[in-house]
Amino acid sequence: MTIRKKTLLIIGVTFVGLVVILYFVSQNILLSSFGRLEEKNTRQNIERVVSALEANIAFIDATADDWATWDDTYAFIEDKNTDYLNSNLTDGTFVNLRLNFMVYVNSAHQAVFAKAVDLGSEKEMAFPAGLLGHLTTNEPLCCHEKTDGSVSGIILLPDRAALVASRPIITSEGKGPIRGALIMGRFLDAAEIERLAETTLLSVVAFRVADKRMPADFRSALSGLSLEEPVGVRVLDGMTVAGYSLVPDIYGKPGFVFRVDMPRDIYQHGQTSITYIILSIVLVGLVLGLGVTLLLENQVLSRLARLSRQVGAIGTRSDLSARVTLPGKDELTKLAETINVMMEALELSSRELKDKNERLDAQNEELQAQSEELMAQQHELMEKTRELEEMSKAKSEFLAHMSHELRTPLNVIIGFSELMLDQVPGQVNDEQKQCLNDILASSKHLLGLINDILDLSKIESGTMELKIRNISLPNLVKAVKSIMMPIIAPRNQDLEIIVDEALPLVKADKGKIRQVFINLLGNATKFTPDGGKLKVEAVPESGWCRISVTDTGIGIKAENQTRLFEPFFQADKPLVKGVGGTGLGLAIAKQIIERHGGKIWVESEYGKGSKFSFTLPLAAPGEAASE
Amino acid sequence: MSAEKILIVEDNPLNMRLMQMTLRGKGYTLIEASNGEEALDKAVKEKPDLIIMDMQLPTISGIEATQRLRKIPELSRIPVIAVTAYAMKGNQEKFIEAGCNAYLSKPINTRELPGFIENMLKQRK
Repeated sequence: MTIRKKTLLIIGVTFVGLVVILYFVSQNILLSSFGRLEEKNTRQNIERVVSALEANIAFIDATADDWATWDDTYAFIEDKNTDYLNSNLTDGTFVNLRLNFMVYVNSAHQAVFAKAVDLGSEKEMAFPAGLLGHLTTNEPLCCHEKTDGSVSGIILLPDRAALVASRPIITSEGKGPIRGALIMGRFLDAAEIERLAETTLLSVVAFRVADKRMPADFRSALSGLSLEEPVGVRVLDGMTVAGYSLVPDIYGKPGFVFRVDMPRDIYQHGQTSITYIILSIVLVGLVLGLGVTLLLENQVLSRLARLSRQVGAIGTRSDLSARVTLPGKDELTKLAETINVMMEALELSSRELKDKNERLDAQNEELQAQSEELMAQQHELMEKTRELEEMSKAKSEFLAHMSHELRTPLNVIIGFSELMLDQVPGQVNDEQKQCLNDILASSKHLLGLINDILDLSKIESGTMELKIRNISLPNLVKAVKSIMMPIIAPRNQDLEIIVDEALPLVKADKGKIRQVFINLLGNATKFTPDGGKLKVEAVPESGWCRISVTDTGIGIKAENQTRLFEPFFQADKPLVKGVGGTGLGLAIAKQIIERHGGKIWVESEYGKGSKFSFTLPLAAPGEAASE
Repeated sequence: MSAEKILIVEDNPLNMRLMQMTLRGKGYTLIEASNGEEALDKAVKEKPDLIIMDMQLPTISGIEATQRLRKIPELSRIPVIAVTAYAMKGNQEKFIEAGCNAYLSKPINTRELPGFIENMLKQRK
């Protein structure tokens, strides 16, 4: 939803709400006030009509009082003189006093005189029927007990109604005895009601309570009225309001209902005012809405659109050096400035990024160059390695070839020496025997050297293949013992074997490990004095078996211990003449053990003995021997 | 009982003499051959009781000579002892496959060879 729509919606909703609230408030508060005002006014007006009616009755009453308290009347009631009649009770008297009838009743309740005049035609008329019935004994109209007694009000006759007043006939001095009653009356007819309307300047309608022609509004109003609450107000329609008043007759019974019709000016006015207020508010709302919209359009939306276009254009062109412009001094201008500040920062960081990128590119190129160089070097290295391998192979081949070539003549030397010693070609003397023995020993030593060199070169060039099997160490040690005993036994040396029969199998090349044992045990016996002690021990420890060959021999100086496993290194001469080693035994042993993945090391104290140890991997538990 | 004939096939004259001296005076008739073809000729002609054959011979090798020998019906049962400078097992198995009955590594032990041969001859019978 756009800001424009939102703003218009908010203004619209606010005004509609305002108008609705105002409408209900005015309906409920203003109009009811106007209604109350209207009712009060109507009530006052109907009361005015009743007051006017009462004033007319009071006038008749005053006239009756005037005439009844008069010596002439006092005399007339007794003597019935015609002078009184002729001078006072003419038709003109009735017209002047606006009386329709007069009745003189004596103390015996007999009508002495009665006359009625039609005020329209100003002629005597027939005395209204039924009126005389009200002048009989005990009727309040003719029974005055006090000299100042008075009865006045409305009297209902069969065919009409009348305003009536009755006074006791007494002397002019107001003295009795009361000689009867003087009754005066005026018909309450259309003319009288018209006069009431004229007097009060109101529209007055009246009906007798029992009148069958009474309109419906009278009937319904009448149902809400009583003598205690004689006044009521009713709205007849939108244009008219009516006030009703119930007036009793002289007997205190409901007699007449008066109605005053009034145009609903006040109410109409109120309604019109409200309409005008609402209309003007709606108008103001429309104007305000239009104004706000225009202002919004001019001051915010068009400028916002402009800003949006500019920022959009920057985005499309990806031109970080561009800036936005927006004249003015408000928040939007500030936003434009903020955007510009952001653009500046973006431009700066973009430039930095570019610089960094360039640097990275440069570094990348450098790295690439280095990488190429490294690859070249690696290639070179591989080439060299290959060359070295070839050289090594050539060396091995050379050694193998050489050993064969060396051994062939050696075989001959050894063979003939043995044959001569065995005197196959003929007798030899002791000195010759000695010479032949020396030749034989040297030849055998040379053969051993050649064999060892061949072994070592095979191991070093990697052409020696290990035949790894699960082998039983106790069995191997026994075999080694039987090989070595012929050498050890003549020296009176004690060979102790501490190898548990239940020792787990080891993964090893049986022949090679036998060679290691023979080398180590051979060394041990060679460097141990006669009667010394030798010991072979095997201990399993976490996946490996540690095997040690210990002697009580001459030991090795600390500075020699590290070089001991180098080829041809010989720290000391053996204690027994003629059993010199090749100087390769330990180097071969080290190569063999390391090819098995194990380690070999020496612990020794010079003069006390040596302990050579090596480790071999144990076979997995449960694996069978596979020798 | 006539002396048993042993054919010695050896190209190196020194080795040949060593072998002859080792077996001299043991009651055998020694026949010599210095290469494979000569060995085959002599074997056909003399029908030896045992052949000691060097495996590294000029012209045809010891293996080939043995293989050919085994194809001649009357010679197919003669025991052949291969003498080899190779100490490698793979090669030794190759010699047995080719038809040799036993093998000896150089250097020849002059003190053990006579007994070894005596055993071979005994087994043949």
